[in-house]
Amino acid sequence: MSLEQVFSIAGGVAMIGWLVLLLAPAGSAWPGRVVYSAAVALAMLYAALIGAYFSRSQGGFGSLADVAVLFATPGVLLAGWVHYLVFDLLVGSWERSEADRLALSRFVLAPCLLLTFLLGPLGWLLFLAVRHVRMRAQLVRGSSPA
Amino acid sequence: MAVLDLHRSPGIFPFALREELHRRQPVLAAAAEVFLLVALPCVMAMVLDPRELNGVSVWLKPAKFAVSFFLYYATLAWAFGYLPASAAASRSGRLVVNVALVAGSYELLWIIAASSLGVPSHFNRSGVAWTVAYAVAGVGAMSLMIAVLVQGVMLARDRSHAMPEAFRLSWVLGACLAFVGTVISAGFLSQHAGHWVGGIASDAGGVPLFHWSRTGGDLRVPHFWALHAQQILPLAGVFILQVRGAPHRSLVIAAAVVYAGFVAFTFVQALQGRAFLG
Repeated sequence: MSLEQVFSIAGGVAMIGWLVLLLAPAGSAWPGRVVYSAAVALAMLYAALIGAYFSRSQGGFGSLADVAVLFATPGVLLAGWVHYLVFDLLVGSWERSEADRLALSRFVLAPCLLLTFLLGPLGWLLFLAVRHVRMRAQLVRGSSPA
Repeated sequence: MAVLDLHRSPGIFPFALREELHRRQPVLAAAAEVFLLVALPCVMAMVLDPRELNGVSVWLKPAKFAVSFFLYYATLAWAFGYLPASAAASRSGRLVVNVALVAGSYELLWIIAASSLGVPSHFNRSGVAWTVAYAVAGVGAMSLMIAVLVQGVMLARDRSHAMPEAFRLSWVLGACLAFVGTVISAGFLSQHAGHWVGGIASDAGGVPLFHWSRTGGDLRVPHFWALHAQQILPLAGVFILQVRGAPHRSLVIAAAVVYAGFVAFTFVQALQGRAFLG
């Protein structure tokens, strides 16, 4: 199996996770299970890629130039990409569960998820900002019963 | 079936079995699952990684060991169900659980590390680090079998759990046979230069799944059968109970003798350089 094929499969698995995060209804257990399974499958693929390629790659983590050399090995580059896929998906999953806990609207969650999907940390920062405001708002409402 | 206590957890067979395993010894049951899951990335790596050792993928061995450890932990966990609930927390029970966990984890990590580097694990005496790692693995393997034996002794001494004596005996004999047989066969194997005796020194074209030599003797064969006495004799015990109904200690003893003879036969066969399956 070529690394391009593995790349496509990994992207497909991650996409299933993101669609479930974005579209599945709140209040049932299956979306969480699907997303978790997708993340575990991708993490196992990551483990396989590291086992298969890492020891044969050059470079390291000491300098930017070392990292560039490290990612010059396609198998390690793919492992790095899968690393993104897994952790972005887990962050998205956390955003969704926090949104459910704080009864945050799906219309507010959706742009955060989209941005997390595209640009990882940026989406997470946006969600943290939204979450901060939401929690303050709940605090205000909770402390002054009308 | 009273012997297996499956009536406690109704449900679909594999899920009921899993639930029952977790009820019997949750730590070892969880370990069994984790080790089985380790086989998955190994199989993925087998597809991705063209590197070979002895003519087969470097990832075949960790995958095989992961499955074997799943059986090992699952069997230990299952057997704790025939001991009082406090047994796993007793001094010998803790020894069984902890030694099995530590030694098994080391063994598989060592094998995976070697595979990821594309070098052998067993028989790898290149350099100080691998020589020491192999020696530690030898101690670990011995510890794994000691855990089986200690649990076997616990089962032999216990009288609090109501179970047919013949069935208890099948567990005890399974543990003893696994211990003695493995110490002899694996001990001999480790003193040998490799697992082949005559024949082509390659695992390629071996017996499917196991990759035992088909052209000469393979010392992994008696090692395998000795090790899995831990499962096979209790299964024989279940079979004897199912077929004969009443407890038959003599039948269980006969089964153990026959099985020990079979293991000895495969050992001699390997030593003579003859293939287990040609």
